[in-house]
Amino acid sequence: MIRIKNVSLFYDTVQGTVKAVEDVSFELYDGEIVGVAGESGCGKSTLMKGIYGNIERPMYLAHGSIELEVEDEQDGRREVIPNSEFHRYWWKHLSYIPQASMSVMNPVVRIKDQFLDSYSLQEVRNYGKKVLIDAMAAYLQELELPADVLNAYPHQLSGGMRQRVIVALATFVQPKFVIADEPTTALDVVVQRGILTMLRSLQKKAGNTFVMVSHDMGVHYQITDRMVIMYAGKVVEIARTDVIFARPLHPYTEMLIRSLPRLGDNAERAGITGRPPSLLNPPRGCRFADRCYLADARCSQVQPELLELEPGHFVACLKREPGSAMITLEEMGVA
Amino acid sequence: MSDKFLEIQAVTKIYRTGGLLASTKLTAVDQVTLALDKGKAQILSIVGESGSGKTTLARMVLRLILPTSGEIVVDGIRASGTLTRAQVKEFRRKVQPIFQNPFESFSARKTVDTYLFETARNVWGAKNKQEAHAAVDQALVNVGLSAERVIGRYPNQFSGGELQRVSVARAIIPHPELLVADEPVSMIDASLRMNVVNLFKKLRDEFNINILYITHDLSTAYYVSDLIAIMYRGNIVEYGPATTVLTQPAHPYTELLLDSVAKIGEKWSELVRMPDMETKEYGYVGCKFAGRCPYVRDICRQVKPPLVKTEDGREVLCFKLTDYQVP
Amino acid sequence: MRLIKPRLVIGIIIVGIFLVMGLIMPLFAPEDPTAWNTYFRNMPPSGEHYMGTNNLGQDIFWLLTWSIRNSLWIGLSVAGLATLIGVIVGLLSGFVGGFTDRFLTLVMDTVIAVPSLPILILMSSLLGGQTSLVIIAGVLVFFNWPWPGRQARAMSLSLREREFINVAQASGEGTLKIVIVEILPFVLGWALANFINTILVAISAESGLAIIGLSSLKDATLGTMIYWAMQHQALLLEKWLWILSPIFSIMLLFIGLFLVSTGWSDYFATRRGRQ
Repeated sequence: MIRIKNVSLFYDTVQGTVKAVEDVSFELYDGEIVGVAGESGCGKSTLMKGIYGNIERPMYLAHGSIELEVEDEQDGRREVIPNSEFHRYWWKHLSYIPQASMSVMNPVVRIKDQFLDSYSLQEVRNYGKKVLIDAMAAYLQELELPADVLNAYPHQLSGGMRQRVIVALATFVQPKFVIADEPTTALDVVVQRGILTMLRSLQKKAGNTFVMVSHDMGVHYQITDRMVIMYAGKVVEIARTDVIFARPLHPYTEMLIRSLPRLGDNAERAGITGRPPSLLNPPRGCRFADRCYLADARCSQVQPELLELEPGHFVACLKREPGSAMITLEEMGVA
Repeated sequence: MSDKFLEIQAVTKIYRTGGLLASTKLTAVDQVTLALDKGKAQILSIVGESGSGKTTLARMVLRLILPTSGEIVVDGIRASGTLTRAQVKEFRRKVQPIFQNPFESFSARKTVDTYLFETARNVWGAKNKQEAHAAVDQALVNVGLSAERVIGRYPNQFSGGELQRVSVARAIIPHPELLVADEPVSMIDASLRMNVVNLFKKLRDEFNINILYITHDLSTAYYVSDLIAIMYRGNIVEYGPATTVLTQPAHPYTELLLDSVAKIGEKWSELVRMPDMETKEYGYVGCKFAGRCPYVRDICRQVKPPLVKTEDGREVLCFKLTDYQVP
Repeated sequence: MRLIKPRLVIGIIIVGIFLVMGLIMPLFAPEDPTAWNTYFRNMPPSGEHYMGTNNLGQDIFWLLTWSIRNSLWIGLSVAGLATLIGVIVGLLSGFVGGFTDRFLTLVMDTVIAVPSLPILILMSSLLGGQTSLVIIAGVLVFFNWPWPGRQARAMSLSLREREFINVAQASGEGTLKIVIVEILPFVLGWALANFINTILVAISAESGLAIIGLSSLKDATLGTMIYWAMQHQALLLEKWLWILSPIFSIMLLFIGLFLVSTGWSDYFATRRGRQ
């Protein structure tokens, strides 16, 4: 499990400090697919880099902690690893698929050599190159990828194929946590479906945890178990995926889901007016207040806390706190 | 005089890559025929994935690329040929583009209003500052923006959705009759998309502007289009009224697309066959979709599929509808 | 402000000093410093003659200011004209493409391939003593415009593929307008670096000619000053100020220009990275 406690990740820039992620807390359990949803500038990519343990200047951990708790398979011993040590466990317990990763492979190195690069020289000597490559080839075939992909250069494969290869490389060592940042953006719908279903079946087989970042709510609906919704650097709602879509409680989640056009449904849809606040100087109160249909004067002054309003359903909204009237968009009859 | 506003007749675009001795031929657009009637404006969506040829087709309509063969005629003007200066001016007044990336559509070194004023002066024909200002103000109001919010600002001071609306404002200043929008909302956040998509509906209904809406997103295409053309590797495989095509797909590729969309409300079932290397598919002798089609028969691989006109007003490029016989 | 590095500042200060020496000070010269026998010869530095006088009875200090002025004039005018012509031709060539582009590229490549120094020497020898600074400047412009030209063309080629150029065309902007208003702003930073480099090239070319006696010897430039000093055995006679002041001036000016040029490129690149 990964425990994220009151984490704030800021960037030092010429114009000032950008508070990309502020005071975020939640947990990632074993054996689930968690979707992190939000739009441009909400901080999801920054948070993922932080969770992965890849915090480098100008980004820094302003406060809070991220811990990885693992249980040793042999002796059942529990070990708590702090974020600063995560890099020791890259490609063992943690693996990361960055955004636009189809473009990050070294164009002059063959796939099989890039794969071998993820092992230390010592390990390669211990196991022997051939053993490792054979194991990789077998794994690729399990994923219905042609084995001769290993001998190819990245540019010889299509974008979709490259992405599938990267997913294979990242999951080959069966890490406990796989973080994928927008793994299917810029890919065709059919290829996207293939990759997402591949991720889902990999997760079912290995029983590990996938954290998937995407701005596409449809993708979350299809394969995630639980969702974390972010807005302007804060977490605004956490719940099981089916609950998020059936009964969103945070006004942003509500308005976002309502704005999405559905095939076969011609109902009038409206986008949210306005735009997210600047993170150089975030507002004192709720960051969504100026675009929210429920907001009142208090909302712009007081920062809402993330509270568990139903078992497993967390919402950060003053108007949804126990004791306030629970009116939804539907009940208001507002489109 | 033709009763058609836009006519795309058997347009083909072939790219040659490689050197003198060994070159490969890539048919990006293959014998595409489409038309829009005069009169009531319509939104025609061209839906396809990457490599379908939809962007190439759009750029040919905009005169940014010339077809290898075939004709494109917009309200009497032969867009696919050489035009006189006067004809180019006329064309620009009638046909305007909206590109995918709003931040690339404006120079980062200039304020966005310079493009608006240029359009007002050069394309619409404003005779003086007041007329130009009036035209720009009106266009901004029509897209839901205010002049004071826009004038004097640089592109990086807007969000993607707002900047795209500025693009639309610029495009409607000369009162065009056709807007060619190439993936206009794919780079905009989901919650801001509908602001732009609804704007297209308004332009069609209130200003009678035809819109050629190029996209890979079926949901927005369904929401906004009257007509829809599905493209695959350069061919239009299905064409017809949007509701019919997207709720009762006739072509196997349309079926596959609809199945694969990450929909909210319906979960996927099993894995689906992945596409082959793109370049190979372009070179198929028969139907280009044969390699992936669940209904494929031998004839599909050997002979080009026929264009079948159905009773409900559609055109489908498939042997399935002729019982796998050559008509 | 913290992006401006020390080297840019130092360079600007040095060049600034030369600009003052070359453009402002000459206005205060008491007589025409090039005239011989104006003063007593070989006088040491004093309150009246800051650097003393030379064999020819010239005041070294004022001679130096005039030399700096003329050298700067050559440098600035050649750089200005060459950069202007080069940028316009390069931008248009790259943007318009087709036959025009191929023709202009051929012209630029040919001029670059021709070695300028032998031609200058040949020309000067043929003209004998009638070379004037204007002719030399003209020839230098001819040989130097293709360098900024090719660079501008390369930038134009890549910029014309950008989407906002299509939008500019859809807005009815004409070709010339697009080149100047849309494309030029991106090229200005590079053009400035080129401009400064060309100042260097022009001054050194003229100085080189002068030292071998092929420049306009009646005019005072840093090069001709060295020439005359050498002709009159300044080294042997240990007339250090006369011969060393123009040499150090050239060195210092070049260092200053170099610092400004690289410092500016640095600043410009980091500034662009932020946008």
